[in-house]
Amino acid sequence: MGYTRKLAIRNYIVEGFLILASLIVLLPLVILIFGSFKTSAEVLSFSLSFPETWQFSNYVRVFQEGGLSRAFFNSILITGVSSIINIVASSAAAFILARRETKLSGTIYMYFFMGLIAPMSIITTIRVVQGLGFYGSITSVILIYAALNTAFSVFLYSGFIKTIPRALDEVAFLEGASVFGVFFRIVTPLILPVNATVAIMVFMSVWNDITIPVYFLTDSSTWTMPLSIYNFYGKYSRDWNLIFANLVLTSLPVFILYLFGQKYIVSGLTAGAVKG
Amino acid sequence: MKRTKNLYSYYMIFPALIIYSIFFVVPALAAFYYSFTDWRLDRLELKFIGWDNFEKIFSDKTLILALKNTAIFAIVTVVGKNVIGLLLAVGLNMRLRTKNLLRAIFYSPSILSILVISILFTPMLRTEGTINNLLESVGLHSLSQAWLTNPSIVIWTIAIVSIWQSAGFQMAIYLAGLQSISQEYYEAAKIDGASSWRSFFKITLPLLLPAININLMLTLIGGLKVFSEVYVMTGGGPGNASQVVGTIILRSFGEGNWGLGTAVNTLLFVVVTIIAIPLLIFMRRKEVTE
Amino acid sequence: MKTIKRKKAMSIILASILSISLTACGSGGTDSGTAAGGDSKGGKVTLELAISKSSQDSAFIQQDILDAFEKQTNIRVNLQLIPAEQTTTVLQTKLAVDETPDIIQYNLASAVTDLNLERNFEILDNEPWASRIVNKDVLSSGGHLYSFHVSQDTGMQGVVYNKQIFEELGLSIPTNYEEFLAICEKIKASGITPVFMPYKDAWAANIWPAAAFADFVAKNDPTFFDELNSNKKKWSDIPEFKTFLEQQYEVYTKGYTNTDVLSDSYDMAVGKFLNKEVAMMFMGDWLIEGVAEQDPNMELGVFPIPSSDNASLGASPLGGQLFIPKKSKHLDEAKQFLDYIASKDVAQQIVDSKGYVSNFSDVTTPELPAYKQDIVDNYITPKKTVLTTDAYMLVDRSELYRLLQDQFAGGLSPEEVLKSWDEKFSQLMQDKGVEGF
Repeated sequence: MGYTRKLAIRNYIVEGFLILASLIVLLPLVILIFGSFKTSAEVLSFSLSFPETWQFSNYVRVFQEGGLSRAFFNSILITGVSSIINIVASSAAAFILARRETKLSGTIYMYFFMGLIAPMSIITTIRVVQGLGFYGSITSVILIYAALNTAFSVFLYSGFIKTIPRALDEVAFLEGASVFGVFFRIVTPLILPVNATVAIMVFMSVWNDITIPVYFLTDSSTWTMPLSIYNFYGKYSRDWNLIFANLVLTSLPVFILYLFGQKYIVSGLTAGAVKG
Repeated sequence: MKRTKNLYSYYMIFPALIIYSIFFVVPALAAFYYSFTDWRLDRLELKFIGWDNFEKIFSDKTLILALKNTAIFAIVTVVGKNVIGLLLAVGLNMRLRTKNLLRAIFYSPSILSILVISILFTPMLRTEGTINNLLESVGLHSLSQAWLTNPSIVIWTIAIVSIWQSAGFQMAIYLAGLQSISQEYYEAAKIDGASSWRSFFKITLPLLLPAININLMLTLIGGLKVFSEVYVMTGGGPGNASQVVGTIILRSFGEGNWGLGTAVNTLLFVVVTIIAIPLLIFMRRKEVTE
Repeated sequence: MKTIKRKKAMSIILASILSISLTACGSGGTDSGTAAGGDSKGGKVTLELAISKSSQDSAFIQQDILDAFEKQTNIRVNLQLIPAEQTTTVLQTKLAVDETPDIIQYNLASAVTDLNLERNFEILDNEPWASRIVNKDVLSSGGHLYSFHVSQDTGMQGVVYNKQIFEELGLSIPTNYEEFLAICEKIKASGITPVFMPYKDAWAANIWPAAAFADFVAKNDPTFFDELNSNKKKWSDIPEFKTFLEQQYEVYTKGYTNTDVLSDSYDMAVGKFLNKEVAMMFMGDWLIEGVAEQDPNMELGVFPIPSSDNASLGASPLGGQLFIPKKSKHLDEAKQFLDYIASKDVAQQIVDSKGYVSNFSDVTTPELPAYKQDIVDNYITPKKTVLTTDAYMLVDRSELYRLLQDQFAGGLSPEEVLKSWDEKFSQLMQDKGVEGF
């Protein structure tokens, strides 16, 4: 009895401490959210005060002037497709690299890893895309994003796939499964927490990027959501309240995705049980 | 067993390999060539100049300062993000009632792009801004600083903002790692009478090595290659006080010297490689494979 | 057996993904603005006009003008809006990879250094409208006409001030530095911040020096800039330059400015004037427009930087011109667009709506806003203006701005600023291949 009580007290202390710590995280976000409902003059105090009146009109204005419905669609298309391509290709590659422990696979792994360090060059990438004949298209951007995130995804997946015991694969092979079958039907479900984490990370990095579209998408009607913020950098001054509203709207989709994916990260508990 | 190995078909690597090679590796390699030229936008002719750019780099005072700042930034953020991330993960892995809510809260800053964070914090860090006002209101007036305009602390300030943004992501990786450790180990240890500290060091940490490896690599590389945070919050200023290698590269491009900018980029690549690869190899050897 | 079959399936899937994406880009191409795709849409030409997002209110790109043009010539103008902070880099990149827009709106002076004017842009000397231009200087470089504008109204740079505050406190425009300090003292005593210095935006710290240097040079050493640009003289050679830098810093150390000079930014300026928190700012007269937009009742004016006795008003080189890149894929159509805007009716319409000083011999200048009329009467007509230093620069000045920030951070003395800038300046000129360096 003494032990469980001690455990309970420890948990309460930890919980209390974490709740306090979370305030450090929340404070700036609260300023952001409140600010998005304030008037142009009010928001300049950047404080925690409640807005005098809740200016929902900010959001309406941002939505219209920023062309957010089109931008949202563009973002979903580009981010969604490139993320899916990236995740499927990278996890498959990482699976093979993690299982095959030869010099070749080690070299290929390094080849991917260097992508985390090597810098991206816009001009030479443009030349490649030009050479392939589709500069300016959404497809080029999708493939570029898929490529840029490959190193990251392969790296993350490799680390975690190693923790899935080989024995499971071997059992499946003996039962006549192909390598595809093993990958898709056995390994993938087991690395769900990692899948969720990588999916969210890749999605987020593509969603938030503001460089590639500027250089690779010449038609501004194909631009993504985060770029809409430049509509509110006024010529002489900045409307912070509108900028904040724009930031909130742009961040919302990723946040919703996270809430949705969180369930799968939690369900990773079942993965551990399988080993038993 | 040989048969099983061959069943792991290399074909499955192809999609990733092809896309990665065409759209990333080829352009990156091509760019390296420019480091050895006097590439400028206002000239059509391109001349191969060998190591000249690199010589110029090492005689530039501002670059030396940038290297120092980059090192400080990298160390502070690697330590900060990983320690805090791990502590949060351990804490939020316990049976707490508000566990899911807290996880979402701590993770949320990493969802916001660094542009958002920097736009949000820059006005707040003014000398008469929110942060200092907050400190004053709880009586900690002496702690207020000229966060972004005091040349000696500006890089530390930016590092702290970066930690604020990213620690939640480290936490998520550590959580995923913690959750893939089978409970059996802990139960066995308890039966053997081990304390929670011992289980932590003997069970948790070793089995967490893949997660540690990932976080260490990402924060290290990210720290050495830092750019956006500094650029948006201070532009390298005041003056050149917070310049990091990433912003120096931009400075060279802005001055029209694209060959030099690419050379600095190449140099950064080499430095990060020298630091990261041995570390990676070391970590991978220690990882436990089932 | 099974595995071989699967392998085959995999390669087929892979091949089909690749071919689908490559064909999709054919249709994806219609979304894009590439010139390659532009023509094939049934013979209608689409011009790409690249412009910074912060210039969205430019008269040349207003929808009614574009629509009328399209109606008349069946040429569509598509706008490529570029985020303000990245305009230069994006345009440089596009010019470097031959993905040039057909028309670009940019500032002439910066185009010379940033975009390699001579190499990349068409000479417009022989265009039909060229003969009607009154002031060719503001559109030319190296003796040739490179750009187009309907206005010859160059921006002025000096001390933007709140006329009403001056009236209330009985202040008159200072004609030298001591008088300037005196009025600062009076303004401060009344509880208003005399000068707003937003030097987080480093370029703002160069307004005072750029005007002061140019004014001094024009009166005392007219060949200085030529000699500077051929390495015969250095910035440190003129002791008065040091004085001017000291002056600006002194305004700050005497407490006549906002406290947070290095963390306050330019975008706060309009608000500060509107709230009557500040009385003056070293800035260009474009600020006056910005404030007037928000509150037409505010009366702002501008007077010369009082660095010397009876200084002249600094004139920035004209900005917002239209350029045609040599590598445009629709040169004729692009020139047609300029013709259209240059036509008497359209030009008159633009000049009237924006209150420009007309640059066409047959387009009349409308009634100007009060502050502009003042400038014309008090400075332009009596020829009391001088082109600021920026007009003579061939290289990027960001390092100078940063050095000025260092000065305000308390790290550098004026001598050190000038000395460091000399070093950087000669290095940049050398890199550029300018003779003499």
